[in-house]
Amino acid sequence: MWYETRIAKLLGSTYPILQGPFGGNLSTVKLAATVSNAGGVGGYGCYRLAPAEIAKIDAELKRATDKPYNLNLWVSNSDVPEHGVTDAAYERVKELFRPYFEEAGLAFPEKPVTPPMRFEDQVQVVLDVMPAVFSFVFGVPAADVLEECRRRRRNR
Amino acid sequence: MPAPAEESLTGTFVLVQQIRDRVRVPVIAAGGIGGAGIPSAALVDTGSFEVDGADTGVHGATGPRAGQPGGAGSGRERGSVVAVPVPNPLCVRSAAGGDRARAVGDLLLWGGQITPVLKYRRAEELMVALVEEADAYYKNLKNA
Repeated sequence: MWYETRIAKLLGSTYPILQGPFGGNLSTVKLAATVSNAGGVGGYGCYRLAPAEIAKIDAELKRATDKPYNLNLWVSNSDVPEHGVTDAAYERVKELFRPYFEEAGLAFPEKPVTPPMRFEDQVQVVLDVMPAVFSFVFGVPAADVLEECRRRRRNR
Repeated sequence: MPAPAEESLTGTFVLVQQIRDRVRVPVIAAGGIGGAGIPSAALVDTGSFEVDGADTGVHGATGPRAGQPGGAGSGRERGSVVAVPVPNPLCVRSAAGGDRARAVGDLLLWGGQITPVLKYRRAEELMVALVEEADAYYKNLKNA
């Protein structure tokens, strides 16, 4: 059949159909689990989640489906400079975008709190909970992270 | 350095074929696939399909640029969202204007390039339809 492909076999899903794992609080356990339960591979974008939150989401996913699902992280997950956003930069952007927020009647977001999530901390949780699929974007994880993925998969 | 996003707008199926010829691992085609796109993707032998529209359709996110590359609000051109993560003006307008896009946190991603042809708003229905449409396509191939 058309759906019996290498990747479906590799991922353990009936169909080689993956649901895009949007990050930034756009993913839901319900959507990911629904897609997985329907034979695809549901996805959950975790790039904005703290490590403990990733563990919590994974536990919810495991309760909602016994089928393969995908956790996604951004390797390079923030444009915030290493030492944080300066007040000057924040005020500059605030001035630029103020009209839009005023028109929408929305409060302007606070200056981002640094540091942002560290990929290295997030991926440690992903390794611990071992979803059937770990996907990543905006960069390639360090070789030892990828090797650890393979090792844990072999030992499942 | 990778080419800037605006200089690398190669269509999915052209790009996928080029990659497929150069790697040994299965290739996942993503972006603008939808139902009718599954047989197309299978014809270039990618092995799998990622349907972002499933997500955006279910959440109901649509943008003024539906049917086109995501633009500044998409991950594709993330480099254009600089230093301070704030919504781009289109997102704010959309959220205020009663559009179905969800403004969340401090960043909103446009997705749903395939939304103009998307008929389903529930993930269960979409999955069933994707499989049925692909099944029907292959059945027709056999009968032709």
